[in-house]
Amino acid sequence: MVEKLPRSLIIGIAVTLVAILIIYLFTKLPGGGETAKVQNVSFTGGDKCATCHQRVTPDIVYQYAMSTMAKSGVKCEDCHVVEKNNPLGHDHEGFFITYSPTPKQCARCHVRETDEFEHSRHAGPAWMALTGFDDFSPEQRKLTEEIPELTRGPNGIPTATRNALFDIEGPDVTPAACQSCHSIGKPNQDGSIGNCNKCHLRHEFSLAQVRKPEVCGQCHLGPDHPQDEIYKESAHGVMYATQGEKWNWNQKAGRLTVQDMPAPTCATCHMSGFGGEGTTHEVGTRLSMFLFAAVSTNRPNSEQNRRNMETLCYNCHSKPFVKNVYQRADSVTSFVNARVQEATNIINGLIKDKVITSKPFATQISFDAFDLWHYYGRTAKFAAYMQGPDYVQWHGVYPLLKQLNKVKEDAMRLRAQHKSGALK
Amino acid sequence: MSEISVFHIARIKLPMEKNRLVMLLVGVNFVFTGFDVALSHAVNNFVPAYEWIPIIYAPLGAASSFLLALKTNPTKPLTFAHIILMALGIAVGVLGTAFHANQALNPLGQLTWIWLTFASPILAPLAFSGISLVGLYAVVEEIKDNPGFLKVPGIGIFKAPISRDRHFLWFVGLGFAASAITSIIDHGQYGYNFYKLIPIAYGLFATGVVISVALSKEWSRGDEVTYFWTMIAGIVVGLLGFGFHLSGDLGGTGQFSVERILVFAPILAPLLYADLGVLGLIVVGEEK
Repeated sequence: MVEKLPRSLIIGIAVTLVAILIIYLFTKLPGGGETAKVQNVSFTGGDKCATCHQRVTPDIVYQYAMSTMAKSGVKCEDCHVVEKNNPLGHDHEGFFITYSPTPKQCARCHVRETDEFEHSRHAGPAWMALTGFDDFSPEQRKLTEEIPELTRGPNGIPTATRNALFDIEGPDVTPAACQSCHSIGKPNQDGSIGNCNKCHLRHEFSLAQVRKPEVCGQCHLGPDHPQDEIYKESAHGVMYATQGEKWNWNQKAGRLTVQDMPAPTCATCHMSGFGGEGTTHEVGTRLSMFLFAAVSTNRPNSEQNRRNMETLCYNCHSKPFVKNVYQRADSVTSFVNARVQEATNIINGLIKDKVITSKPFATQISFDAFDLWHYYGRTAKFAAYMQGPDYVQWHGVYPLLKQLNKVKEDAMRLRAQHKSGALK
Repeated sequence: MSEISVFHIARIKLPMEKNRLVMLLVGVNFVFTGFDVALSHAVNNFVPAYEWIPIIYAPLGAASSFLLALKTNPTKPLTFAHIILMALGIAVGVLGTAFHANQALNPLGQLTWIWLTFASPILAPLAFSGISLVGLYAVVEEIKDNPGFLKVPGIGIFKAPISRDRHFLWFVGLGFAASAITSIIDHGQYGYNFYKLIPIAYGLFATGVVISVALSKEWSRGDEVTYFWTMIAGIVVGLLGFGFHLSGDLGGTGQFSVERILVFAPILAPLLYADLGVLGLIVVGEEK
C-alpha cells in the first residue's frame, strides 16, 4: 500500500511528523518550551485582560506570569480595578480601572507595609523637598505631619523646606530630573501618597530584585548622594559583586539570615528582617542622624535607631568593631558639620551685609556654598558610615576643604568689591 | 487572455501571459508586504531609522513589477532597472534578517526560546528576498532546448544546474519552509493549541511536498496530484488563517481598533500560504 503512495506525499507526511515530534520533544525539555504562561496563573474576567494584553503589551503579561503574586492567585483586577469614585479610574473594556495602582491598592493586601512607607521620609517628605506642602490635600498633609522624622523647626512645627532649584529649573526640566526620584512620595489624587512601583518594579515584583542594591541605586547615586558608588567601594559591595550570584535572594521576607546573604545590601541593613531584627518599610528606623542635611543633627529616637542598626551589624561583626565604625563616622560628621557651618556663616554674613542677594542660586558663591555641603559634605558623611574611605577622603573632605577655601577667598573679594562700589 | 493546464488536473484561465502574471503577483506581493512591514514598524514609530528601508523599497519594487506586468514589450532600461531593484530587494531581505536576528538575542546576548518567540520575526524579512528572486526570474529567459541556460536581459547568459522552472519550484518550497518556521516561532509565544498547529503542520507538509517535487527528476501522477491539492490547501489554509487573525485582532469585541491591528496577530501573514499556493500553481502550469 505504502509503495503505491506518491513519493512527494510520503516525504511531506514524514517531514511534518518528524518536525512536530521535534517540536513536541523540545517543549518537554526543561525551559525548552518556556512560554508566557505558567501554572496557576489566573487572570481576570475569564482571561479577558490576558486575552488582549498578551498581544498589546505581551511583556507585562509575561512578567506578571512569572511573579509570585500571580502564583498566589492575585488577579489583574485585584490591583487595577478601583472604586467608581476613584479620580484615577477610567472605563476600560468593561472595567473601571487605574492604569497605575497607588499604595491605596497595594494596601488592600499589604496594609502594614504601606502604613510604614507612608510614615517614612520616602513618602511625603520626599515630595515636599520639591513643592513644600503645595500639592498635599489637608488629609495628606495631616498624615505627613505625623511622620516623626519630618524636619521640624525649633518650635516643633514641621518645616516644609523646598529646594529653590525646583522652581528655577521649572517644568521644562524637573519632570525628567528631580521629580523622577522624588515622586516616590508624590501625593496621589486618590488620597494616598507615593508610589510602591518606584522600588517594586512592575510587573514581576521580584523579591530578589528589590533586595539588590541596583534598585536603591536608581536614585541614591551621583554627586549629591552617592550611596550606590560608596557601596561598591565598601567590603559589603565587593562581597555582593563577587559572590552575590550564590546568595539566596528569594528567601521569604523576615527569614533572611547570614546563611542566605553573607554580606548585606542596602535593603538588608535598612529594611530587611534579618537575624533578630524585623522587616520595615520605614527606612529611617535604623538611622541615627539626618545625614542629608547641611548640618547633620540627631534624628528623633536616634539612640534606639542606632541600636536597631547595630543589631543588624552584630550578625557578622563584634561589638567593638561596630562601635569603632560609628565612633569614626561620628567624628567625620562633626568635622564636616563644623566646615559647613563655617561656610553657612560666611554666606549669611554676606547676605546680612547686602554684599550678595538672599535670592538662592543668584550668585556664583551661593552655588559654591551649596556644592560644599550638598555634594562634598554629604558624600563624606554617607561614606564614613558606609565605609567607603575614598569617598570620605577624595570625593568628600578634600573637595569640601578646597571649596571652603574658595568660598572664603571669594567672600573676601566680594566684600572688597562691595566696599569699593564695584558690585553696584 | 491566456490559459494554463496544471498537470492536466485543472485548466486555469489567466488574464494575461503567465510570465507577466507572475510579475503582477510579485508587484502585489511587494504592496502587501510593504503595507505589513509599515504596520509592524509603526509599533515603535519606525525607530531606529533603518526600519524605513523596506517601507521605502517596497513601492519601488512594486512599481517596476507592475510596469513590466502591464507591458507586452518592456523597454531595455525598464527591464534593467527592474533587475537592479530585484537585486536590491534580495539585499534588503538579507539585511533585515540580520537586524531581526540581532534583536532576537536577549540582553545577555543569548538566544532563548521565549525571546525568540517575542522578538521581531526573524525570517520575515526574507520575504523581500523571496519576492525579489521571483521578480528577477520572471524577466530571466531560458535558452530554448537548453534547460539551465539562463539569459539575464542586458547582463548575459549564465549556466545554472537546474532549469528556470525548477528554480521557481525551489522558491515556492523555500517560501513554505520559511513560513512554516515563522509559524512555529510566532505561535510559540503562549504555547500551542490545535488551531495553531494547522498552519505549522500544513507549512511543514507543503515544504516536504514541494521540495520533494523540486528534487525529483520525474514526477509520478501521484506526485502531480499531491502537489496540486497541496497548493489548493495552501489557499484554503491562508484564507482560514486570515479569518482567525482578523478575529483575534477584533479581540472578541467586533470593533475595529488600529492599536489591535498594529500589535495583535499579523493580519496579512497567513495570506502568505495562499500566495505561495497560487504561485505554486502558476509556475507548474503549462501555457496553452
